[in-house]
Amino acid sequence: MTTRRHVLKGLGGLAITPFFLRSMSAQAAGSDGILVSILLAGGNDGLNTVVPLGQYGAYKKLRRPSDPPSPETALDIPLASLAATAFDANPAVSASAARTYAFNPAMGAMRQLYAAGRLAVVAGVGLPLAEVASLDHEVGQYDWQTGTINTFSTGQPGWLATTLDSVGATGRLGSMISVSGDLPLLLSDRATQALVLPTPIDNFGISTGGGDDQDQLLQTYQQILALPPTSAVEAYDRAVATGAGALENGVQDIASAMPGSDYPAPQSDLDQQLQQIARLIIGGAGARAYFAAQDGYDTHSAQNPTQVGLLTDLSTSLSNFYHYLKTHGASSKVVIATFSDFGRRPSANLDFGTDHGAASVCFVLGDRVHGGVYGRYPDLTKLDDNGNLAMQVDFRNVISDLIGFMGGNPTAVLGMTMPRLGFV
Amino acid sequence: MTGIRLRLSAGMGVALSMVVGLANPPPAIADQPPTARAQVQHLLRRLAFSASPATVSAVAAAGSDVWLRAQLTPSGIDDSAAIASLEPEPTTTNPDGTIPNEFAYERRFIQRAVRSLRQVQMKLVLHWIDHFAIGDEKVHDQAMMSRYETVLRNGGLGNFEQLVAAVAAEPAMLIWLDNDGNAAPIPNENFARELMQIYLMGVDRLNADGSVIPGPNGNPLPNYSQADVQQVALAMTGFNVVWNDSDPNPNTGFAVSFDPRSHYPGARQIMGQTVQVPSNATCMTAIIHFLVRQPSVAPFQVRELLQRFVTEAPSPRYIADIVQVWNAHLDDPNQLANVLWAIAHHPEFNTTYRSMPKQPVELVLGALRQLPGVLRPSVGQGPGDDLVSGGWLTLLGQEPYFPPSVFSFYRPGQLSSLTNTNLVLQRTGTFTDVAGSKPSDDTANVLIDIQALRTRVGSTAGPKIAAYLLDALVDGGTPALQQTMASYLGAKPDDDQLRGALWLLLNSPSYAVN
Repeated sequence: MTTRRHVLKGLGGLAITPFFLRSMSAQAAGSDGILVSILLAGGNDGLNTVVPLGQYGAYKKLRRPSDPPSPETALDIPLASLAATAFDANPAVSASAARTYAFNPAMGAMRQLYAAGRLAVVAGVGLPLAEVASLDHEVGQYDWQTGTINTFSTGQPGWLATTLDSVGATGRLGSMISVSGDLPLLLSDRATQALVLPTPIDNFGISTGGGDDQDQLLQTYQQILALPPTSAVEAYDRAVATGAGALENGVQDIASAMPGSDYPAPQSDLDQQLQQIARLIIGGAGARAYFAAQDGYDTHSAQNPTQVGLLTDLSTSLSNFYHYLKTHGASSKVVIATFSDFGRRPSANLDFGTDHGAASVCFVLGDRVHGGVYGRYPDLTKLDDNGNLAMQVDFRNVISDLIGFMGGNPTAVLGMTMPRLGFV
Repeated sequence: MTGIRLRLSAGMGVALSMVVGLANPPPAIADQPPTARAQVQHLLRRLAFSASPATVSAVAAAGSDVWLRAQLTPSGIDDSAAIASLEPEPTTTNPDGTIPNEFAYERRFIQRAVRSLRQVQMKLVLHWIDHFAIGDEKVHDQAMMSRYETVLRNGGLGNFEQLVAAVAAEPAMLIWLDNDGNAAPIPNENFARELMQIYLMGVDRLNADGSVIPGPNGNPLPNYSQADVQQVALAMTGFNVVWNDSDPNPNTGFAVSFDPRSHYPGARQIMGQTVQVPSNATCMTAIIHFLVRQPSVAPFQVRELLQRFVTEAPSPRYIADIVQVWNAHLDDPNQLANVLWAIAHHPEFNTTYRSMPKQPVELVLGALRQLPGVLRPSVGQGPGDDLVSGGWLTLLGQEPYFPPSVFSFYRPGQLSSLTNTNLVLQRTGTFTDVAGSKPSDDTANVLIDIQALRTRVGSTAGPKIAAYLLDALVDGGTPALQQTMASYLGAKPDDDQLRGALWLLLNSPSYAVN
């Protein structure tokens, strides 16, 4: 669907039986927070997601340069269309009085969440470019999911899986669930991996065709799964198939108890993924981490229509999800965080697109979030040697705060200590 | 899709005991060296889309080398019957804007992979459409997609540099990675970056044995910098795809033009060297000629080939040995065929028996070849349509030509990431449909012909049928699996029991390994 699959090189041998299932041991004391991570795959352009209104002149110059010739390279959002979504670091400031930032005009719903004090905007966030120069999709997504840099060739576990293992998190369906259809590295470590569900979750089930001998067929299927495997890879497949069968009832029970029929009719794949997560949370799946993904941000050409569509979808889907949880009394434990491979180049190419860049923005949303702006954009007149926005907030700083929210020890998981940003 | 969802067990009690069991799986039976027949089955699984028991016997009788030598010169294999059986090649968009033969190019890949006698060629196509992944969702032209596969098929066993040059010049690739319209003075870097990172050499500088070369600070040395990406992008400016709307022919309906006015002229500084770049359409081949000779390219390509065809964790020795062959044939028009031959003849090849998960495409197409698989048109659908456009391969996470992103379905070496709970349950649906559909069902376009299967077995006795299916699908199976299947089939199984046995074996962990 969206993300290229990663698992640990350390799974090597696959002799260990991974597994999502520690479900029946007691829940460790500590944080009860639930983190919903959303990958914006492809590298989202931060400058047109959150426009630095306070530097609008420099922004316009970068996005509508007179030399080389405009309007071919124009990616600027006109000032007038930013009036309704303008905001300041203080969420209480109205759009009409705000002077510092503005959401993309497609993100009206996000502006409302911001005004409610539930949305944190982390500006200027990214990978330390001096250390990771490649601006590569895989490396960017890998770094964000492992909380490391320069380890791509050796393979590290997902920081969220490591955190949950360290706090002994469990759940009726395991501690981690991906609804993107894929197993993300974020939710894999040497001991556990996420339960991966289709969207909608109702489709998670064994199919046999419904002939006369169903009972015998399923009995024989279980016998076959119980046979000694002939190789480590076979043992791994067997463990996944056994686990999937064991969790099928649990997923179906939640799916039928929580039909989600009062959810606004999903308009997109992301919308539908988030709807599934809402059903699972409210239905009592008990997982501490959920993963969804939205693809299409690699806008090397025709950026404007593409990104506007994606941001409209993101904004609406997040708003639907948050308000649904709120209505069902389930929003108090849930924090939603977005991340993306990297940002994009401030100046456009001649295809009306932008190439791979550095710093961008990410969002953190939830009742426990202290709304506002964290970090800042760099001086837009001082780009780095490659013409990119220099990082102002190390991506591991955001991760560090999220590990803390999950009840983990950020220094132990990341192997380094980051100052607290304080958005949650 | 005819599947009906059934629950494994009535309550959580059984599920609980299964969960507990997960923590302590039974130990794997000690890996035993494959028998001579299993070695042939291993070769046919890895370098082809598997084969029926009869074909396995024929290859074993003639000798694997005879088979492989013929396969590596596909033009010498008469494939006219398979080619004649394909549905028509798709054309470009109709004048009224509708798309003719939607997904025909994709179904044709499946039809060819199942029916072609040029099996190694088609297995290489699967490798290259993952390596040089392009997506219909951006290319949006059925004829272009179809033509792209022709390039991969014709060049997939040839010379790597020529293959890269041909891929780079294809309209589908120009559109997919935006080299169409890449113009001076502000280049579009998309193609340049992926050319270096995904198609040729990767991010890290490699030794000949595939190990990473560390820099002074201990971090991997990069192959190239951002400045190199920009230089390569500038060198490849000036190309455009142009359409001739009145001509829907896939080979003439569009063309690539080079406009010197939008080309950025002059020599370029790339990776510390000066590269002369002609200011004409050969600028791209000049750059590719320079890049494919960089030292990381051979270990990067060889490692990936080994990871796709042999083992997820090739030894440094295996990589280094094959890199030697790669480099010795750098200008050989049959470079890749020589590399494949060396891979299959390396002492490590047979030590990798049953050591990889099957990719979903292998899982499904293998079944259609090992058993009498049928791809046929159904109501309003082309042959094999149930596998594509939202069908089974989509649900299994590997629909050819619909990669999740610019990189493809999984990172080479991380194939096991495809084995997740969603996949194992989706495959029960797939095989319910494929093994359970009856010829009388006019909506089924992918199925196993049970009567043909009975003819192949040549006996109605349960034990004979069990032995045949076990040989066809799981190299004979363990004694415990043999006993389980014989017991399920009984003395004289009817067609429904036969379908049930297929479902059981196709969903067994034994069938899921490669």
